[in-house]
Amino acid sequence: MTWAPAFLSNPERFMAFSRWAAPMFGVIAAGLAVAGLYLGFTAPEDYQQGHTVRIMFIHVPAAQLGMFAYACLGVASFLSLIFRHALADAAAQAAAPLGAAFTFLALVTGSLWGRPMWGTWWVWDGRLTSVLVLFLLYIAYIALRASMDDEAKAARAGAILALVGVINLPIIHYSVEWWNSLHQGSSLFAKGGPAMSTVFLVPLLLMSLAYMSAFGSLWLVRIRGEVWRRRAEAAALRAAAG
Amino acid sequence: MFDFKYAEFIVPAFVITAVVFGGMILLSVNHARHWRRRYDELTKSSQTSR
Repeated sequence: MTWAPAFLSNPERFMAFSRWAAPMFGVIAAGLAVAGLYLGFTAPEDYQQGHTVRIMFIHVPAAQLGMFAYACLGVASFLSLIFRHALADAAAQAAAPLGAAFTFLALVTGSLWGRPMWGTWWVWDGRLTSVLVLFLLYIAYIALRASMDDEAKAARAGAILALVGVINLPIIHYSVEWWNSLHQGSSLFAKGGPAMSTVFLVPLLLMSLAYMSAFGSLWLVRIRGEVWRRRAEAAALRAAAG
Repeated sequence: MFDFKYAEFIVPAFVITAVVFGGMILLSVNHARHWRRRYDELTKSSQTSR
């Protein structure tokens, strides 16, 4: 674990790494998505879900990434709060809009799957409500950061909000076990291995890896943007000071 | 390709996903390019004013 703060503490090393890593992750994501979508659309119908099973290949990875991005936001916020390092704060700030977008996709695609399968667009059960709370946490974090002019105060307030929100992650994960829910239990990480056929498991894993690579690529691009923004603002201040 | 049952739910799910991904890529790349250009402009102007 010692490499992570050391890596984060050196913006020049990060900029050199992200310059080639961001496009590389993007290319990997595109390749995996093409393979995953091909296998997903050529897979047979599910005996219960019919063709709607294809929505799972974009819904499940979106939900996974919504949570993973929040875990990244939490870790970066923790590092920013403890070490007061600008790059950790930039990483937290860059993760929030991406996480919000993935969570939005999970909610919308889940709703589009739920209408034909459950007969309803939405139910206020533990899983759906806790994912909606996750989306609102992202929006609150983005709004809080945008509402404060002082970068240091915004970073601190945002980090505290993000860390409080981390408690929602285990709630989302265990919601289907703790409460009665229309939402199915864990299929990928079920005890005794994945509880699904290989024809569905392979495209789902490919799409999960594609989403993960896409997030990695976009996160690096957004952190780079944040670094340039902060450097530009510092340069503008220096120019104004003469 | 999309004449199967429940296409009215499956197609919007994939279209919305594609649009959101397109938006994420466009906004992220534009944000980084904008601030990179701004930084370059500011550092060039400060060098010429010296």
